[in-house]
Amino acid sequence: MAEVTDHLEAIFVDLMPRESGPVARWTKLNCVNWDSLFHLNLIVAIEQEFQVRLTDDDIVDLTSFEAAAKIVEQRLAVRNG
Amino acid sequence: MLLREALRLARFAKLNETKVSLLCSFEPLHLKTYLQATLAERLPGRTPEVVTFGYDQLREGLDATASQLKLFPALLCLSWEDLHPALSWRGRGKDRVETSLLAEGEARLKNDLTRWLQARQGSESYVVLPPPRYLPLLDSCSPMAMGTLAVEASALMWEVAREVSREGGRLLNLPSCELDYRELLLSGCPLSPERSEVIARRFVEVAFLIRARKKALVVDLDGTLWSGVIGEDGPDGLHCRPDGKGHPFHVFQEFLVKLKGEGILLAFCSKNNPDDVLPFLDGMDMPLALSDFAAYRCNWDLKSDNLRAIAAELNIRYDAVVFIDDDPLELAEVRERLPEVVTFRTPQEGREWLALFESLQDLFAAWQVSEEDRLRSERLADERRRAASIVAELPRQGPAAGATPYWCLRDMQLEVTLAADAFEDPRSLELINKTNQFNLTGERFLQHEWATWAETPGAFCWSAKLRDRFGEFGMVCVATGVLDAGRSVCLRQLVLSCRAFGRGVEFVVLSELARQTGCMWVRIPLRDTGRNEPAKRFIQGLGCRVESDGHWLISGREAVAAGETLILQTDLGVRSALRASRPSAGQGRRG
Repeated sequence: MAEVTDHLEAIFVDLMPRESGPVARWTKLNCVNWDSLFHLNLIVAIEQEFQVRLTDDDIVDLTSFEAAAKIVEQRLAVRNG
Repeated sequence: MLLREALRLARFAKLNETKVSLLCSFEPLHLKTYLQATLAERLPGRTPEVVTFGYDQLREGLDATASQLKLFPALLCLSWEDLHPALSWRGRGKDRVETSLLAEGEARLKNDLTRWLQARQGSESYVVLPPPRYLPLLDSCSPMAMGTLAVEASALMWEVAREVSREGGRLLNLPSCELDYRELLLSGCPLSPERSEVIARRFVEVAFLIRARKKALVVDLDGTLWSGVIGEDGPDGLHCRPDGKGHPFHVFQEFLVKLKGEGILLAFCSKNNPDDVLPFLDGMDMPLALSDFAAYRCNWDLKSDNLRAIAAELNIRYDAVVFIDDDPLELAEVRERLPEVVTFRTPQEGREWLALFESLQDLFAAWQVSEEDRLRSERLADERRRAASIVAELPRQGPAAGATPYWCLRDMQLEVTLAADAFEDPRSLELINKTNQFNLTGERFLQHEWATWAETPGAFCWSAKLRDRFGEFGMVCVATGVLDAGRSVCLRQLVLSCRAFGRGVEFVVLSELARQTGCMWVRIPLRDTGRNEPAKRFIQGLGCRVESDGHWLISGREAVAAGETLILQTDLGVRSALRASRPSAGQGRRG
């Protein structure tokens, strides 16, 4: 889990370099830079770097760092059987 | 490349003042990112900035790149919607698509792109066509077939492509791919990140990474040009007919004939007794004849020694040579002793030939093949006759003590024709970009850099064509620079084709430039590129003085005198075709 959150944190920071505060608390509502472009980049970055495919529901539910971590965990579990 | 890596490269790119325009009617999204990243990766420290125009802003993009951005390279990614809005998965509307509507859309798009390309003449415009798999399902037939509307739309898009190509647009050839449907609905961009990277890499490779075109292809004979061993099987026992095991060799020979027609010099290098080979080459039933080869070596010497001799005979550098042989030991010997030569092993299996053809086509690629390219082999034959003539006359005339090396040119009927509008001739840039030995600075120009330079106030570009009693050399010399207000000619580049070395053309060009502009001084940049010894020797031999900024300086009077001395010695004729002279130069006609 820590490995996933560390990796995910690096992705979030790289994709929203101007955002401040603890990454673990970043949400769509409290980040001014969480726009549609960031959202699209985040989807691609997660899929490329964790080698998973997000579902349509995942994409809708991807509204915070915490949610992203949960989604990635779930997809990794599905992928690894 | 991961998207995150691409974003990082794009973010920290050190951009220069040049631009690359990316035009499309869809949201460029990842394509913009990967394009900027690839430019940053491949052109570090001199990365152009990618300019885009937003969703559904193709018209604005075409206008901007036909006006204020017209000198910079542009990449236009067409989509099916550009032909007709109904050809879109996202918004095809309620009406049935009719072929007449598609034809109207095609006429409109073709017209727009023709005007765009005409406005951008002289600049590089690259176009990507939409893959057939991006078409929405238009017909009633199964998706495993193509119905009337899909065929119609495809044919019309190819009509557009044909017009684009005729007008000088450059079409990128990309592998086909599937539509990323989720990406299209999510972002309005039909291109997946992977597809975006493929397009970006191919564009940057083709548009920015100028590779010197190879000049000669040297092939082995037995096992490469035909199947069999001529010394053992005899000419009748060889296979190179278009059937059976000779078939790939026959196709290979036809491919070599095509390359020869595009200006590539063919040569062969074979370990054989010459008497077993040379008398039979013209009588064999195969596409190539002995006269197709600009040079050959047929003996038992090392192949590397023979390649050296062939390169010397053709007057080209080793790194302009490609060599193909079926024997891995011969290839290893050549690679060891001539690492500059690109080598390929003759395919041992049918399926390997296509990869060889594609590699060769890439190494010998050119956007345009001029008449001069096509006649290169014939010119080389002229050159052999010249050399033979000079050698034959040497004992008869013999240089007097202290005479210049140009005395032997008196009977060659040399004639130089000067043109002052050489910015308009694409061969000028081609010659500058491919000349290594007689090249003042090694500076190369991309198309847009050349167009920008041509717009510089006072900039000029002169070219010189040469002929002698054996035939035409074509354009052999280009001089470009500016005439400043203080009546000095400041050269930026002077190149001379190695084919014309030793004829004094460089003296004539410099002299006429000084004479016709009436300049006080000629300032000449000179940078040691490690390969431009002939240019250095010319400048150093002129008696120039070196300025503190490293430029060499010769007075206009001395430059004129140097040319006149040469003309007196060689009886060389000078013709001027200076119709659009920049700087203002007279219409002198001498010789």
